[in-house]
Amino acid sequence: MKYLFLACLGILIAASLFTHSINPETQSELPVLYWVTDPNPARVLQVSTFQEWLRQNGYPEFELRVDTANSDASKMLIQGVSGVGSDVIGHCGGQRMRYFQKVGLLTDVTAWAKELNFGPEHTFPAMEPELTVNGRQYAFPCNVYAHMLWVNKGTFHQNGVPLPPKRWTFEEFERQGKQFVEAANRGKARQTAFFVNGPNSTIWRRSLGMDIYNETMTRCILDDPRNVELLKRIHRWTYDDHIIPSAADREAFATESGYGGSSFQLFNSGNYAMVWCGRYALIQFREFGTLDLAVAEPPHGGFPVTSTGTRAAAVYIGGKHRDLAKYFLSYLASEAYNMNIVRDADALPPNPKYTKTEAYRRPLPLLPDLTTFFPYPDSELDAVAAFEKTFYAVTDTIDRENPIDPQDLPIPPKPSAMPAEAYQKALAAFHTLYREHMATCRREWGCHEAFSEAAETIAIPVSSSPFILESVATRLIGQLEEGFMADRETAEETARLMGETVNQEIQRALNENPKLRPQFDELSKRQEEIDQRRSAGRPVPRDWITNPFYRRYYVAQGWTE
Amino acid sequence: MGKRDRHNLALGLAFLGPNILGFLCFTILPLVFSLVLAFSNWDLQLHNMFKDEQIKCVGFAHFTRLLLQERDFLRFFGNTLFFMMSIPFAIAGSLGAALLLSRDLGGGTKRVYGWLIAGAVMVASSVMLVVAGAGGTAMTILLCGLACGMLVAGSLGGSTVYRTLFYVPHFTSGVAVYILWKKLYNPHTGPVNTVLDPVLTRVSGAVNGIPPGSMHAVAWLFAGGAAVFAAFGVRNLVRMWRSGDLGWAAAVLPAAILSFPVVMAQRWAPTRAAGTMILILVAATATYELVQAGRDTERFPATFGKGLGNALMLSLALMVGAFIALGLAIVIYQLPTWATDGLEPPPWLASYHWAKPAIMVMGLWGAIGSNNMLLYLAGISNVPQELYEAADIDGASRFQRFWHVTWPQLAPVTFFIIVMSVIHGLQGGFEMARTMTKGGPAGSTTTLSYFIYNEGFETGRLGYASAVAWALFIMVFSVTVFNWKFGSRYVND
Repeated sequence: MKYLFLACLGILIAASLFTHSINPETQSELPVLYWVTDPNPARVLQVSTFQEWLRQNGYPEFELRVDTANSDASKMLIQGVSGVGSDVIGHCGGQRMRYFQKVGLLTDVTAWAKELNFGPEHTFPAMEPELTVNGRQYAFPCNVYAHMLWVNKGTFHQNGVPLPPKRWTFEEFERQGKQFVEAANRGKARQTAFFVNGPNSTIWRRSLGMDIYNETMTRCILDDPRNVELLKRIHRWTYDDHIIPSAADREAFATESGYGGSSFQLFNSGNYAMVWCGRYALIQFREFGTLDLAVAEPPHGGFPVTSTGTRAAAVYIGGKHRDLAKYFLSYLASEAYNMNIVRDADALPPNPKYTKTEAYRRPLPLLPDLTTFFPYPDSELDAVAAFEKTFYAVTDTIDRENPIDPQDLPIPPKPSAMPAEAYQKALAAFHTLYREHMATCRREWGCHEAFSEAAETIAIPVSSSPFILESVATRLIGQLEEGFMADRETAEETARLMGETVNQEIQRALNENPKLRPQFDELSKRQEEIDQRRSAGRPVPRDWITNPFYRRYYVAQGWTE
Repeated sequence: MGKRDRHNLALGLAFLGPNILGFLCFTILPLVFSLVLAFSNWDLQLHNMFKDEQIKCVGFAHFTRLLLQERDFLRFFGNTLFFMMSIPFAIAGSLGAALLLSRDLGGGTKRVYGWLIAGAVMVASSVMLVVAGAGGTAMTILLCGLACGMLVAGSLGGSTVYRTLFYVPHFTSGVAVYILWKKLYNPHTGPVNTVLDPVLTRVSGAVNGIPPGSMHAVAWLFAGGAAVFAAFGVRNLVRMWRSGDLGWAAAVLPAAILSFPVVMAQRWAPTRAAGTMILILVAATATYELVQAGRDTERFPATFGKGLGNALMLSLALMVGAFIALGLAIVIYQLPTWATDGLEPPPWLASYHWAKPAIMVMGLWGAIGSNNMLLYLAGISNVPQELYEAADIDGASRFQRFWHVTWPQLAPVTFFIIVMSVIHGLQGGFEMARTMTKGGPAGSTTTLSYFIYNEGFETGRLGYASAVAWALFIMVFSVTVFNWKFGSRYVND
């Protein structure tokens, strides 16, 4: 028996050695870096385009591999503090960037950004707080999003309701919403159509001129009558006017499949007249193929505003090849990558100048996904990227004003690395898609500008106090909102508790980390001065204000020096 | 020790070595480490390989904070206890399933063929109704048909089929089950509400036909039942004290437990008036019994801690009974008001009030056919047949056979199941909270284990999360010790 066990031990050891020998890292001659991100099929092409870009620019070559198995935030955190995080951390903008920076997982890329031109000046100005902490840069956007309301024009026309204006107030929203739900649910045993897929209390609160935190983000100010008014309004819109579905209504919609979950499916089927989302909703909407679309700003209570954010990439401080990872961030600022995002409709490209192109404003049908159409081995993926680049260089110049016959499409030359048969098949597939999807593309025209304009004008990133974890604040506030919507507390009590619990959490953080106290005291003193100036009607220096919402709001109201 | 013995010892240790090493590395070491963490201020934001901050000992600060400042701790603890309320029902269900499955259910009798025909007719009828568009009714009939089909299959295949069917929920993957139940609980299209909807419609029609005064009278009856439970408990406690079976100090906690329903009845608006009645009745009973005790010339004083276990078991059981009666009183009292607009099935997981019961029912479904059922099956098969023969000779009925033979013989199994169920109940609730509800709505389904996860991995406060985990361990350990001390006497008697 013991010989049997010894034999098993020997086999296990041999298997371990074999597994180690076929580890991808040991098989590559080039350095291997891992990019942890979501399992979007577009990443494959982005990586192959990146390899091509490295060669063209004469940068050191290395292999970038996508890791989709560890994209959960808690996994990233634990792996990061254990020293085994991925070299490039995806989904690392805004809240996650600030948290990981606090933990110490991120590399300060400010110097590299200056060297390789991927500083905050190369992206939307609103992104600066999402990428930097105390003036130091830690990430660069993979894309940028601004939350707007997608409008299903067909649903409105079917129910005889006029389309919403681009900019509208709460009162107009309510009036049209009531009109819509009454028309769309007429004669039905139970309500199946709603005006919009849910509330967005953060945006609506800001449109009333208030934010979660004060100007210096030292205190939560949700115990404010305006917040009470907003809570009551949302409650009325949900349970009295039925413009917005309740939690039970959302649960009742059984469809869960597809990118974006049930909301997009229900938007397509007319159950929701509008949905909150960024431009990246088009990834799913294009699959549906039949939607006639428009875009509206969120309704406002006096101050038009929306929220913005980014899916950004950062460099892990414990990575073995940090000096190579910087090239990936530089690639994110390149034309090749930006135009990729433009065509995929994966939100907004990092650099706003690419939102001024015809390819962005009036896109044509895309090439089919050649990596699945032709089974390219990894070594030939660069040929795909090269062909796409050539192809789009031609189609981007097509005159959109006049109808274009597919037969008259200019034919891009075949890249040398691409087989002739694959080239012919790609062209034929594109002609087919062009004929079938041109109408779909035209229905998008007019929508894209709304997002880029919003990102440059009214979009403001979410405020984040350095004295409390955003996830904790979000959880506490969200729980209390749910409790209010379940009629456990009154609106006044809910607002009071929101302020109280968040402020208690701030105090707790200060007690646990005394190093924050001097900063807190300094900012609190400044807050007092701001309050005094406001009471006296005097302008406030803009630099005193750290809350990104109030920095914009004060300027808009003319309250700054 | 001879050379050969040393050789054998070394060989044995060599084979055990990997397992021992794994146990030390992945169980003992983390356990000890977490105990150390519980007294430290380790926070991932401040203490990791990329930071220079020193970890400090904070003593009992975490525990103090947990007990005195954590506003949600009691609420989450209450959620955990709420889910544990299903344990007695789960144990009863497992026992019932085991008793049924220990019988020979082979086929071949006329009754079996009757079930076969009835089951086939039901399934065919429901299919035809679905085709005709009567989906709701068809669903009801189909579920009944499914039950019949299961009975028939078991009749043909014997108890093995039933045992497998009963055990299926237990070995089905947790996440798959939770997703399935999410669909079942869908407020508008889920089968649960599809079956409930027509039933509740009829109930509301019936209730609307009954004068509200009659319903209120019935509600008062149930409130009276709660009063009877509480008064009965007080009476027994006093009598136990009189007869020397209960010490005066040991009576304090059971009395407090019995007073809990009385206090809650005063706090809830619908039962405030009834609560006064309950209070009066309980006070009158207590006064009467104490006066009787004062007249006793023969007293049997007991040590002050004697009889705590018996008294606690009695008071806990009566407290649960009183709460059930109060709950029914509230429902019946409010029914006329609710039925005015028509009764609707609840939104289950989307509702603050119904999410917990929904998850509890799901847990009960899985627990009935779990390892507890297998333990009971094994226990039942070990009951000596002579005892049953003796009972038959004495003319015992089926219930008497169960109560005087089967139930006492299953005492060791029951004791083990209670201990393990309580431990599991206090530690559980994480998977379902994370998969189904994310602890909501509004924290209603957040249990202590989910709270520990949030504190540890959402905020990075590993020291505090460890302290909460060890506080939970202390609770589990205390309850287990109590069970061993007071429960085992019923096993050994």
